[in-house]
Amino acid sequence: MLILAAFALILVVVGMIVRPLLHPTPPPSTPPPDPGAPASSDEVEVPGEPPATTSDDLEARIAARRAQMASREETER
Amino acid sequence: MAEFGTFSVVLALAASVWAVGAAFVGYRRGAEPLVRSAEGALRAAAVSLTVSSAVLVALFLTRDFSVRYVAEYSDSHLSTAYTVAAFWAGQDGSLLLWAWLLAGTSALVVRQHRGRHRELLPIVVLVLALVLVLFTGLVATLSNPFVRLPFVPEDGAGLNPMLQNWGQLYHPPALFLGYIGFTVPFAFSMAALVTGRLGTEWIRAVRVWMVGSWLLLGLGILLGARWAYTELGWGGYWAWDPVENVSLLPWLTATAYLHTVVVQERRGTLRVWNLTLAVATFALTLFGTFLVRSGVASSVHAFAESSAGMYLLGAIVAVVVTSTLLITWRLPLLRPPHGKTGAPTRERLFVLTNALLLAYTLAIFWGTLFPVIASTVQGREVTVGEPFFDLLTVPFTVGLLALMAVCPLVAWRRASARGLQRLLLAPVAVGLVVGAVAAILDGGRHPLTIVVLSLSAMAGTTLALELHRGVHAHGRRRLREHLPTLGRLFVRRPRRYGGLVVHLGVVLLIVGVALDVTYRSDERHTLAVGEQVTVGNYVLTLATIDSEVSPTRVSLTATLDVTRPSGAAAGQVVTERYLGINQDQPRTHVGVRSLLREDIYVILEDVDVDTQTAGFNVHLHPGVLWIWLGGGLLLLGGLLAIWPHRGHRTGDAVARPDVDRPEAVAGMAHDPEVPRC
Repeated sequence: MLILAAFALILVVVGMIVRPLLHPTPPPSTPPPDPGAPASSDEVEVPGEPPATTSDDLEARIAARRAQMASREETER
Repeated sequence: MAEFGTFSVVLALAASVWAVGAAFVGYRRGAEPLVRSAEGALRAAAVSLTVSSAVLVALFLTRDFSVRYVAEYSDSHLSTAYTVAAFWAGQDGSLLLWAWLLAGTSALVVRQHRGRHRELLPIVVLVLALVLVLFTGLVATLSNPFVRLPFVPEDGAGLNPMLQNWGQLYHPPALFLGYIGFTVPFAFSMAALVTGRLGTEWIRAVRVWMVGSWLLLGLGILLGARWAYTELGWGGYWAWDPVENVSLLPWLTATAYLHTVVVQERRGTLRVWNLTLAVATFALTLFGTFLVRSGVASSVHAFAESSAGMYLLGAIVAVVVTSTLLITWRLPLLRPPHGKTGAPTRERLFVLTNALLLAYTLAIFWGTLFPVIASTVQGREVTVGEPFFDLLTVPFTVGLLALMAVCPLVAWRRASARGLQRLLLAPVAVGLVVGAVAAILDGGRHPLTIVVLSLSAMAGTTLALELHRGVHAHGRRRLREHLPTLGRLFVRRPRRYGGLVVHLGVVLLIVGVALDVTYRSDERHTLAVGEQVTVGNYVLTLATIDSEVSPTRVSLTATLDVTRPSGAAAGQVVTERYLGINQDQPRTHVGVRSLLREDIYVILEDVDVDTQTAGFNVHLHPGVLWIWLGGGLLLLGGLLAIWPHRGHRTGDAVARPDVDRPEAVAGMAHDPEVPRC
C-alpha cells in the first residue's frame, strides 16, 4: 500500500515538473493598448481640462490653476 | 508509515533542487518552459511536504511511539488538539512545519504570478527554491522527525506542561507564517536587483505579502505575550528573552519598510532603504531561527543545541554578502529619478521614523547578540537584562509618539509652518491637559510616565481629528451621517484609514504598557474559605476550594468572588494548582479578571485542605486590557489596509498630478485626502 502511495507521489511530482517542458504555455498575452488611455499615471486627465502632454503643458496648467486660485481668493476677499 | 514520511521529504528536496537549477538555466537562456518547470517543481515540493506533514500528524494521532519524535513530545493521555500541536513542539517537527509553510507560500506566489511580473519570476523562483532547499535539506538530514527508535516504549514522554496551553495551538503557526512570508519580499527584491527592474514593480508585487507577514508576525507576538501572561505566573507579558527579542527585530524593520515604501511610491526616492529593509527583514528572520535552533541563546523558547544552527548562520552570511554586492552593483540605477535628492517635510519625517525604528532595532539586536559573543569569544556568561532594554525603550517610545502626533498633519511636498501650528493646536492642548491631570493624580512621582501619557493623548487626538477631517472633507457635518461616511472612507481609502487605525492601536498599547509598568502592585494573602481581603479598589472573598482527582492529574481549585467596596459584584477569579501524570513539579493556572481599569491577577501558591485555607499572590495590573485592545486594533487596521477593495490603487510613483489638488498647487499645508504616515 505504502509502495503504491510512494509511486503515485513520484508520478505527481515528476508530472508537475515535466508537464511545462512537454507542453510549453505561450507567454501571457498583454491586452492591446487603449488608444484613448493615458500613457502613464502622470498623464491622468483632470476633469474639465485638456489632457497634459508635455511638461511645458503641465507647467502652464499649474500656472493657470494658481492664477485661478489667486483670483478666487481675491473675489472672496 | 514513518519511512513514507522520510521519502516524501526527500522527494520535496529533489523537487526544490530541480527548481533551483531550472530557474537558473531558464533565466540565463530566457527559456520560459524551464522557468515554468521550476514553478511546477515548487508546487510539487508543496504537495510532497503536505504528504510529509500529514504522515507526521497521523503518526501522532495513532500514538506510534516507535517514532522517536512522537515518543518525545506526546503520550497516550494527551488530548487530540495538543497531540496535533505536538507536531511543532520540537526542533524536527517545527522545521518540517517551516519547510511545509514555505513550500505552500512559494506555490501560492507562483500561482499568483502566472501572468504577471514574468521578468522577475525566474529569480523569484530561484531564491524561493534556494531557501526551500535549505529548510527541506535540514529536515531530510539533520532534523528528521520520522526516525524510528530501536525499541518501542510503552508510552511517550508527554508534552511539556507549559506547552499545554491554547497558545501552543496558535502562537507558533502565526509566528512561522509571519517569518516565512518575509521570504517573498526578499525574493522579489533580489529579482529586482538582478534584473535591474528597480522601479515600483517589485514593491507593488510584494505589498500584500509584506503587510500580511507583518500582521501575522504581530499576531504571533501578541499571542505569545498573552500566553506568557496567563501561563508563566509572573505577571508579565514581555521579558526581553532573546527569542522574544528576535521575533520583534524583523517586525520592526518591516514596520520601517512599510513607512518608507510610501515615499518610494509617491516620490521615487529611498530605493536603497527599501531594498535594504526587505533584505534585513529576511536576514533577521534567519537570525531568529538561528538563535532558537543553534542552542547559543539561553531561553525558555530555545530548542536543544543542534548543528542546524551552523547551516542557518551560513545562510545569513550568504544573504548579507550577496545582497550587499547586488545593491552596490546597482547603485547607479538606484539614484532617485529627476535628481530628486532634496527631502521635503513629510519625507523627512518618514526618514526620521525610519531612523528611530532602525536605531531601536540595532540596539535590541546588540543587546541580544552581546551575551552570545561574550560567551563565544571570552568564554564568560554575560546577561543583558530588562534594565538595558527598558532604558532603550523609553526614548524610542517618546520619539515615536511625538512623530505620530505631528506626522499625519504635515503635507507631502511643502508644509506651511502656520498651517501646521494651527492643526497642532488641538492635539497640543489635549496633550497638555492630560499631562497636567496625570501629574496631579501621580503626584509628580513618575515624570516619564506623565510625558508618555501626555504624548499619547496628543497623538490620539491627532489621529481622531484626521478621521474627523476625512468625514468633513466629504461634506458630512451632521453627527448621524458620520458613521456611514467613515465606513465609506474605509472602503474607498483602506490604506490610509487602516494606517490611522494601526497608529491608534499603537497609542493604546503604549498607554497600557506605561500604566502597567508604572503602577502595577502585588501582595500576598492567606485566606480561609469565607474570609475576605481588600486589594486596591476590590474586595476578594475566598468562596470555595475544590479538589479533583482524575487518571491524568490531581488538581486544587480556588474560586474568589470579586466585589467593589460598595458591594457591587465585579466577577470571579478561578485559579488552579495541579500535578499532571508526567510532571515532577506542581504547576499553576493563573486566575485573571480583566477590567477596563486593571487586571486582578491571582496565583494560587499553596493550599491546606484540612483547614480549608489557601495562600495567594494577588497582582493588580492597571491598563493591561488596553494592551490587548490596542494590539487588536493594530491588527484590525493592518487587515483593513490590505483588504481587497474596488478601485484598488497599487500606487505608481505619483497617482494623481498635483494640478488635481488646488491645495498642493497653492502650497497649502494640509490635504485630508492624502495618505498619512
